[in-house]
Amino acid sequence: MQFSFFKKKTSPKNTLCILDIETTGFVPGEAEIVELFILKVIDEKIVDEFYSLFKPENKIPNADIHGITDTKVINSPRFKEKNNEIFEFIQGSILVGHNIINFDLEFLNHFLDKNIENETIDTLDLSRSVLMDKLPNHKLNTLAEYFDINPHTHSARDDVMTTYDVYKKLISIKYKRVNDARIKLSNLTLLYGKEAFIKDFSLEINEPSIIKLCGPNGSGKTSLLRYISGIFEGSEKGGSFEVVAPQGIKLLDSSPSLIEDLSVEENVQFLTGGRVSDKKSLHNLLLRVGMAEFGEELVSNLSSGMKRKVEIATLMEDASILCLDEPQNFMDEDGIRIINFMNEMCLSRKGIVIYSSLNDNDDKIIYDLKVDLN
Amino acid sequence: MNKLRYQYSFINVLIKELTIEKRRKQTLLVVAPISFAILLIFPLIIEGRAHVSTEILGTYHIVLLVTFCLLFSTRSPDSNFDIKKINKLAGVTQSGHFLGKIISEVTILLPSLIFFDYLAAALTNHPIQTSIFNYFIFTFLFSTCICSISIFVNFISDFDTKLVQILILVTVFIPIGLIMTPIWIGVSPDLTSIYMLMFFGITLVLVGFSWITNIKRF
Repeated sequence: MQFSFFKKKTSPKNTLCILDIETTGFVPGEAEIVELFILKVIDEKIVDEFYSLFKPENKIPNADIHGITDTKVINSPRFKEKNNEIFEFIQGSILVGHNIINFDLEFLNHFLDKNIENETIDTLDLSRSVLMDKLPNHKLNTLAEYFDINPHTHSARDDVMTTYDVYKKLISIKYKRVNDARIKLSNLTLLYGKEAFIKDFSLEINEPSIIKLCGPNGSGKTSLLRYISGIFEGSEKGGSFEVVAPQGIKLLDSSPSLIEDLSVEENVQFLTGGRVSDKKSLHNLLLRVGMAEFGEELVSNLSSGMKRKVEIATLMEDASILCLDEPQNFMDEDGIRIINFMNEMCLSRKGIVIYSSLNDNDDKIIYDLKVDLN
Repeated sequence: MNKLRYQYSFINVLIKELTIEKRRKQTLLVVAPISFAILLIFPLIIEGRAHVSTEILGTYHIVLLVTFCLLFSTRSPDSNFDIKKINKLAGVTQSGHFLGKIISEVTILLPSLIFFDYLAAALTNHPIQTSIFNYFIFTFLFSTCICSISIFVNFISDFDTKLVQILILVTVFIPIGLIMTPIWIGVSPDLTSIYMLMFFGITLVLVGFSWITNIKRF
């Protein structure tokens, strides 16, 4: 079996925008935003920040909480004046915040000209999934105390810094179990009956990377991915296969792995093994793949591309090794972006992504290495 | 519940299977009405009246049980490869799959069977000749046997050759029905205990065999 390796591209950088707002109350519309701080972080380096106080329409009734008085904001701009600047600042980034989905985003979407459609990571949800019942509650102060970092002070800037520190701690806990994913295939021969379609194939991957398997129909791409995933139905002859995947291997097969009689949310609940079960987490996960509005819909009513997006949603969080069989099939531009995002998430937890493609020159999905199965 | 679902994969499978059944309503809308029709037609064909004489009551009950269980077992074909693929994605273990599947199948079959039995008793004026306790124990063991066999046959035949599956299932269901039928017709209390012990042993063997096959297959 002839195959070739070469370095193709490096992965895009991870841009995070950690944000926090201070308001005059709890209900958007009744209350207004008086302070906003956004910290931009690229590849764990703080690169920029956005800060502004805003002059509300009404008097500030809760200055005792955040220390922002009417006199302090007398010369500040109205929130609407900063609309474009805010959008430009957060463009293309992942938004991070504590209770960001139920509070900050609700306010921002209410007061901005259009809704924010960025990916979001809520440290409240992250904490609930990582620490579970280790803490009495998952408030920012409780988390700060737990991780021994500066507690929040109800000033947007301090709260953002605390949130960022908490986020880093939570991520390190979440992914410390997932490291050193490795695959080593030596002189492997795969057969269906007596016919061998992969002969003496060798492949070794020792570091987080995205591998593209290339080859025409019948070259063994699907079978190889199924073999690595442990669901290959044929037989093997000779060679050896070693895999280290602390959080398992998951396969996005060419045919959907969804249950047609269940709704999108029920499928996600089942396929994530019950890890994503409550309404809010389900909504957030589906929001990432643009399927939040179809949560109640039966899978049998969805198009092929939509089904693929739902499957991708279930692959977002876990797995050290992702095997994707022609993931670009049925996917539009948005779908390709989602695949790239999923791959990035896998890399960030030191995982390996292997995907197959019919087209040698199809570079919509970013990859590091190419293996030619011709 | 969510925590349990995460910790024990069989609960995840159980919830999935029950949700599918609730959505499809196959047992309620397909299996039960067809069985009910056979229940009404059978005495009319055999005796020309809605009454089954004592001589053929055993045969009548076996036919009904086999028909009902056959319809139930073949109601939703499963592809082994799809099961394997989906379980792998959901992180469901082999044992988790088997336990979840058998518990869900028994949960669906048991009440349907009880309902069906009582319907048959009412329509044929032959009441069930045993105590309620014995009846429930026997029906539970019978359901467990039927579900184990059904899952096992699904493993080995992949449910894509219906005729073969039906032949295998009928062949196995008839002897199981033969053990169950005396409970319906009525046997002496001493024999009931022996029957129960025997049935319990058979159930254990069938469940164990099916479980091992499941683990080897997946």
